[in-house]
Amino acid sequence: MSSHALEHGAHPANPNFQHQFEDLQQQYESTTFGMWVFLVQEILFFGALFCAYAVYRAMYPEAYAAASHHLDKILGTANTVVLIASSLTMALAVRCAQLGRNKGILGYLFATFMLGNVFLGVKVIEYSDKYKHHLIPGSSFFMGGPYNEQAQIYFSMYFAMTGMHALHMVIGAGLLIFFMWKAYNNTYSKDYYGPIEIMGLYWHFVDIVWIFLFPMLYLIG
Amino acid sequence: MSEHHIAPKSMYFTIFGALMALTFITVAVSYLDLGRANVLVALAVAGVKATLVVLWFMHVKHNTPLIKLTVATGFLWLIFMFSITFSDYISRGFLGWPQSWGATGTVVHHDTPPPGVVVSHDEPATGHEAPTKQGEPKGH
Repeated sequence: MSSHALEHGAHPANPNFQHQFEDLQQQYESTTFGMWVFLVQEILFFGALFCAYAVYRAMYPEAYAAASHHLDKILGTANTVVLIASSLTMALAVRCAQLGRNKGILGYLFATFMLGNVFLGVKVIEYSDKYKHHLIPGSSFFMGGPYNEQAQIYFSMYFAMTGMHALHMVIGAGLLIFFMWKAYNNTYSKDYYGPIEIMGLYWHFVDIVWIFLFPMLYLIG
Repeated sequence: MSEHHIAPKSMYFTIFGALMALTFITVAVSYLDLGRANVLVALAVAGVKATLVVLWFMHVKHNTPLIKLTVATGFLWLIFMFSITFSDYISRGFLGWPQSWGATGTVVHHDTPPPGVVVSHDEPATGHEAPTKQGEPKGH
């Protein structure tokens, strides 16, 4: 595979070719492998949060069920649809990158960016709703009912998990702006599109985290 | 990098349609009362959705063995994390020593409330305690 790419002889001319690699193909494989190693770490990072969630859910199932009724299933479902749609536009951006179409990359990344912002906007509505209803864990927490204290554990997990997920979304949105700028400058080609592929891997990973967060937090009541 | 697999647009829309359908299935099932099966269905649907995203959106299906192995190890270590953690928590009740909570995952019935439910012992019950925010745990 490597020698195949070298035969074209175009690599020294490509300004994105990093000299420590043999050729662009090896550069592509190394960088995507590096991204996957990072994502494996991310799986375990979010996995630890899910593990803590599961331990306390096993301890206080009724409290979890009661507390989850305070989340809005409709908003959660809408956000799931929005985020999966953003994954579709991200995947189509990567496809454009594979074909070397910078304008297509720009358009699909912008769509992904906007859908990501809709998701975060809905999250703001949900968080402010929790604030108004005294559902932020702490001295002013009050859910009422028989599981008031244990429900704080649920809401602690809710804010830790969705907050960390939203932080990943914010970072992803910043990265999208960077890659839109690069695509605007016609950076990518059939020979060099690894960064868009890696951006896609990150975005899809954040989508997968939400795919598990949504039923675990919203649909257990 | 012409040897890379470039999937047709229709593939991405098919996966998207499947993800949408599974989302609505999992929401619909959440309105039914299936007992313990509710959790299993929700986890199974989420697992299928994640698999679709990993294999097709993240291109693992048509990727090198190195990438496939890397992804697999990620989930392998995740299984280790869960199995070791839960082998501890689930087995804590096996010896029959007093637990604040039971191995079956429910609050054990004590004369005293479970941890977290603070009942002020140090104050005599003069009746002017703060209105209780903490309810008593319900028995099962």
